[in-house]
Amino acid sequence: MASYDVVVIGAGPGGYVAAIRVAQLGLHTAVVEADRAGGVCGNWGCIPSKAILHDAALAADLRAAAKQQLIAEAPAVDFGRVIDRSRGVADRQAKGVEALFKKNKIDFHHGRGRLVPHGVMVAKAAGGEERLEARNVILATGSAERVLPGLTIDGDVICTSREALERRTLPASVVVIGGGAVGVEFAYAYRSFGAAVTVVEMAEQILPGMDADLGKELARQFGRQGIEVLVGHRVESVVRSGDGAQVTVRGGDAGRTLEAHMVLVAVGRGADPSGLGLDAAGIRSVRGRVEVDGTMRTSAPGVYAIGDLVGPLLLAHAASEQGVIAAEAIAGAHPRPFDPDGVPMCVYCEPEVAAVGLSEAEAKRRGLEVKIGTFPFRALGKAMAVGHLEGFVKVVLDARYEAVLGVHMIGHGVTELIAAAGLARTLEATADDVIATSHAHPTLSEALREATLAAVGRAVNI
Amino acid sequence: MATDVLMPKLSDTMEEGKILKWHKHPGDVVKQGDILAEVETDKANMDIESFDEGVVAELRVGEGESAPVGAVIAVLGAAGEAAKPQAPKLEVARVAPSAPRPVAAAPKAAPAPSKPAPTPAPAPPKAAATRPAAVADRVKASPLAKKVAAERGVDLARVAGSGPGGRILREDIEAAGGGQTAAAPAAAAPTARPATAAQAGTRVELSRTRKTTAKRMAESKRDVPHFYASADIDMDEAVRLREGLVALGAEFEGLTVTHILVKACGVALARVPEMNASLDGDGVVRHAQANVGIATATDEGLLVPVVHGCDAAPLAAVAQEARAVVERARAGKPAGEDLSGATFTVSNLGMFPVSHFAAVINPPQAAILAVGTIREVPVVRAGAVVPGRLMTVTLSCDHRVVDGALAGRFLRELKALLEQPLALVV
Repeated sequence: MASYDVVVIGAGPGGYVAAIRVAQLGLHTAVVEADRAGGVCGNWGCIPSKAILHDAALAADLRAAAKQQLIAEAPAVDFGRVIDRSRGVADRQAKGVEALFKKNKIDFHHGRGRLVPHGVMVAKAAGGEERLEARNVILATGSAERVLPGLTIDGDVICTSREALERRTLPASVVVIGGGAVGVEFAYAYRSFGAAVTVVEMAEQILPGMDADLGKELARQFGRQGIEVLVGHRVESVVRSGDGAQVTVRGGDAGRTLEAHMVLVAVGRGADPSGLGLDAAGIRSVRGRVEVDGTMRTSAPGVYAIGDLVGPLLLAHAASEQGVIAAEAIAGAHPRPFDPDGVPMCVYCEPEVAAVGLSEAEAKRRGLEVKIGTFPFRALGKAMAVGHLEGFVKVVLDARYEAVLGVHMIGHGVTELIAAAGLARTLEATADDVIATSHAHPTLSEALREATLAAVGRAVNI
Repeated sequence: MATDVLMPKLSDTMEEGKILKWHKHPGDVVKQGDILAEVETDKANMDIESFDEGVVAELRVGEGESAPVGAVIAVLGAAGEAAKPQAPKLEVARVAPSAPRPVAAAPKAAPAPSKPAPTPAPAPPKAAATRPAAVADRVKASPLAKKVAAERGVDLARVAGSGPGGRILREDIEAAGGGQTAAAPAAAAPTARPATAAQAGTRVELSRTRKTTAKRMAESKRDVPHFYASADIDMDEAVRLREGLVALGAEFEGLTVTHILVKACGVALARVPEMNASLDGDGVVRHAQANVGIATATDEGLLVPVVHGCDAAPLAAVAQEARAVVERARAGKPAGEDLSGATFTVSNLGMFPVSHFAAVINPPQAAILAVGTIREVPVVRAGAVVPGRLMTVTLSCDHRVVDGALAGRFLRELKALLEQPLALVV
C-alpha cells in the first residue's frame, strides 16, 4: 500500500499548487484527480474561456480596422475554429500541469478520492480501488455550476458555461441568465461574434459584489455594443420551443418574454464535496462549503481544505494561495492566514474589469472614512492612441493615513494593471508612495497614479 | 538669546504630555503661531504653537516620550545665532514612570549636537531631529505602519514585525499601541521567524484609552466592594430563536447572541429596577431607562459602547444599534453618546473557550455581567438527561447598592428571559 505525507484530492489550481508546494518542502506527495489535471480553471473555466475571449476581441479589432478602412471589410469568423483553439489551449494546460507533477516527483492517481481513516480510498478511473495511506489530506475538489431549480441542461439550447465551451455553432441569439463574471464574459464573446445577446440579472447592477460604479459603467459600454442588459429582473420560466427557448422575466411589475436560440445559465458555482465522505470523517460543512480556520484546517485533525470547496472567493488564484498556506501549515511553518481582502478579481470581457481590496461601499460599511479618486482613461494620451477611451480607475483611500484600501478598474487591459494595486496594498502603500512612483508615459498604468492624485485633490490631467 | 519652550498645560487635569510628532526640527525657522509639535494629553491630541520666534536649536524630548507640564521640551535660538552648547540633559525630568528603559532608549542621547555650529545650518542639528527616520532606515516597516507609528508615538524599533520578511505592518503597530508589550503580539503572530525585538524584551507606551482603563479599573477594584453571583443558563431556545430570526433576514440580519443578551439585560433591569442604579453620595439614583454597555476590544484598548433604552426598544432595533455603536468604536470613530450614559455593562467572552469569569465593575454602574461561552453539556429536562447548551454568567455587584438577594432576583429574571426568549421578541 502506498504511503504519503500528504495526499491532495483534486488537481485544480488549488490542489496542484498545494501539491507542488508540499513537495518543495520535502514531503512525499500524491494527487488524486478524477478528470484531467488543471481542474475547472484549466479545462472548463479561466483558461479556455480566455482563449475564446481573446478571439472575440480580435474579431472586434478587425471590425474596428474595417471601420477605419485599414482593411476592406471585416472577414467572417469560423466559430467552430474558435472553439477548437480553446480546447487545444485547455489540453496543453492540462499536459503542462501533469509535467509539473513529474518534475516535482508527485504521484498522480487518476480516479475519485474518498476520505477513509488515515488515508484516501481511490476509485480508479481504470477500475478497481486503491487505498493510499496519508498523514495529511488536502481537499481541493472545487465547485460545480449552479443551475436554476427545475431547469434541465440539455447542452444544446440550455447550457451552462461547461457545455458552452464545447458548443461549436454560434447561436443567432442568446439569453444569459446571471450578470456575474461568467455571464458578462460569454455575453461579450457571443455579441462580438455577431449574436443578439440579452443579459438578465436579479440584482440592481451587473457584476454584483464589485464596486457599484464598475457594473454601471460596464452596462453602459454593453449598451453601446448592442447587448441588452436587464438588471433587477428575475427569471420566471424557461420553456423550450422549436429550436430555441422562451425565457419569461419580470422586473418590478413588468413581465416580458424573451426568445433565444440559446440560454446560458450563469448563476454562480457551488462547492462540490460529492463523494468525499465529509460526514463520515467528521468534517463540518455548511451547504457543502467546508469550514476551515485561517490556516485551512478543517474540524478533522490532519485534514485541510482549500479553494472553491471552502470559499469565500471562488477564484483560481485564491485557491492557489490557500493551497500554499495549507502546504506550509502542514510542513510546520506558520503562514500568515488567508486574507480575502488582498485577492484581486478580474473579468475579461471588453472593457475588462479588475479590482482589489475594499469597494467604496464595503469600506463605509466597515465604518472607515474614505477619500475617493476617479480618473477616466479618456484623459490619457495612450488610451486615445490605442482607441480605447472607455472606463476609469477608482481608488479608495482611508481618509486618515491615505492608505490604499481598494482599487477598482474598468477599461482596456486593466486585468494586467491590477497587480500594481495589489502590490500597493500588500506593502501597505499610502497615496504618497503611489504618487512618488514614476509611471511611464504613455501607458494606461498612468491612470492609477492619476486616480490617486485625484483622491488627494491633486489630479493633473483632468 | 536662547528661549526655552515649555510643555504647556493644555487641559485642567493635564499633568504630562507625550510628544507625538515634532513639526519643527533643529535648524528650522519658527515664527509666532507656528505649530511646533503635536502632543497627546490625558484628553486629546493637541498642537503646541510657538509664542516666540527663532530657529530650533534643540529638541529635548523625543517623539513618543512624555514630559511633565512646565518641563523644557525644546530650545529656540535667535535667527542667525549659533546653537549654544548644551545644558546637561539631566534637567529634563522625563516621565518614565517605571523601571529603567531597555537598551533601545540608550543611543538616543548620543547624537544631540554638542558642538557649537557656525550657523543654524541644517546639517548637524538634523542628525538629532531625524531619529525616527534613522529608525525607519534600520527597521523594515510599511509606509502605512510608519505613518501610524509616528502619529501614535510608537517607536518602530520596539515593534516586532509580522509581515513578509519580518516587515512591520499596521496591525503590529496597533498591537503595540494597544498597550501590550510588543512581545505578546510577536508571540501570537503567525510568523516563522524569531522576533528579535521580542526576545530582547520591550516596552510600549500606553495609548490614551489604555491609560484611562488602567486608572478607572484600579479605582473600581480599590473603592467598590465587589461581590459575585453566577448562574447557569440553558441557551438552547435562545440559540434557536437567533437562528430562526437570522433566517428571516431583513431587520434581523447579523443578529448575535450578544444582541440577545443586551436586550435581555435591558428587560431584566426594567423588571428589577433596583439593579439599574448608581451610588450617589449617601443616596442611590435609580435610572429611568436601561442603557447597556458592551465591553469591546478595539485596537486602542477596551471601550464600552452603549445601547440606550434597551428595556423599551424592540430586539431588532437593539441589535442594529448595538452593531452600529460597536462598529464605530472599533473604527475609532465613536459618535456623540456612544460611550456615555451606560447604567449596566455586558462583557461577553463567548467567542473564546472561556467557561466563566468575573468582570470589574465600571463605576458608577452598580453591576457588570460577565458571559462565558455556550457549552454543549448533558442537562436534565423533565426528568431525562438530554443534550443542552449551557452558558455561565457571573454578575459582579457593587455591594453598597446591591445585596445578594437582589442579584439573585436579577439573575432569576435574566435566566427566565433567555430560557424562554420569545418574550424578548413579542
